[in-house]
Amino acid sequence: MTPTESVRSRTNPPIELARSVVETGLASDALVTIFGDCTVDYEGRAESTLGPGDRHVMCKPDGTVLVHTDEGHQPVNWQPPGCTHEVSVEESTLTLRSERSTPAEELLVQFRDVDHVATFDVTDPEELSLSGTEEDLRERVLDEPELIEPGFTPLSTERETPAGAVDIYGEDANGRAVVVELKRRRVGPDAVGQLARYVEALERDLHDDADVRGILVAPSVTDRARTLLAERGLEFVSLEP
Amino acid sequence: MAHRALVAYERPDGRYDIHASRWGGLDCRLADAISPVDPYAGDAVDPVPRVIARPFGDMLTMADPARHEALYRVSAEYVVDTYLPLWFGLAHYLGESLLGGGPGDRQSDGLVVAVDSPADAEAFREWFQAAKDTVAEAVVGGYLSRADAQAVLADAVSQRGTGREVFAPWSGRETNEY
Repeated sequence: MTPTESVRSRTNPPIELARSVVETGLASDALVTIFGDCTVDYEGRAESTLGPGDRHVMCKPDGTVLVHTDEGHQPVNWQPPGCTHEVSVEESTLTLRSERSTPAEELLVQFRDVDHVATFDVTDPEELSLSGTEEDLRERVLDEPELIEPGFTPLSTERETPAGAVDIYGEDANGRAVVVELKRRRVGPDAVGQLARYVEALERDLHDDADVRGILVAPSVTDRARTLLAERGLEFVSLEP
Repeated sequence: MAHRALVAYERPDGRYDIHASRWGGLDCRLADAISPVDPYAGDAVDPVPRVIARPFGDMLTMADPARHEALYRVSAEYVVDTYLPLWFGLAHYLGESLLGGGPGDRQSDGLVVAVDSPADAEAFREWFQAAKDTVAEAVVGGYLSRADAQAVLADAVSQRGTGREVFAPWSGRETNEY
């Protein structure tokens, strides 16, 4: 990628152009920075307000937001990965709203004046070699259900059963109920016991002749676990976290 | 499902608020990630407590050894102790129901043992799974009764757990501290 394709920036942009640059950057999973005179309001586990002043705001493609002043290495306000962002122009003010549902948190940054705005398509070779976070495994399966098998459709996460909450509950191509259990390390027979318990609990929950499939997703299983899976008619999909 | 864990945070009154974590049982590194500035280790622990103001023992009885893979106790000073629930259930080796349990099989039976690091947790888990596989083979082969197998496991855990806190929250056994 050439520099002109990967970086877009504007100095002293009209407010509507700033909005357009930020919106395009957010939509394309770019890293977005905005510098200008703004106020910051946070509402969530606590509440805080920063009055008008020059700040540098960075939105990362993973949902992180950092608000920096000219001092210190820590941001004065921030949102963790996983937040969703919206940008709009309200009464000649560029408004960046970052929201998180659990726990409910909102960060509102309102620029009266934008001095600089930029978007960067970041390709970090290091990133490709890192393993994902715990939650990534579930997100990957939800984004690409065919990783489980063609025709698999996730219907819900954290579906409650008498034996506890199921990681992913869905249907196969033939409409059969499927319980998916996600593990991030090599597992043994006890993981088979866990899965069997959820399958039984769901069969009881649904109706007497319900035929529920159980699929264990893990990097690998022990030989004993593989045997027990087969004996119970449960299935295994190998997936690295 | 996943690698579930429970986390008990000590309150100023000495009781505990008990939270759940979906992945905290993976490798017990959650103990290192919990701190006063990040009590829930990012998103690792659900910030909404399951129950509040309970004695520590309630976390042990709330835990399901077939489902929870780690338990954490966070002191008011943010010293974090880690415990492994060890599940003695054998029904899945025997082709029996995992819900009602077979004759004499106590699905919720097991012990809880303290570990002092992620490496210690991994070693203890591997040892326990091997021990459980061995006694389960003996039960499947008809060489050992299920009750004897579970007693053998309890003895083995107690011996290997010498010097550690060991709890028996589900079976009605006395709580032991070795």
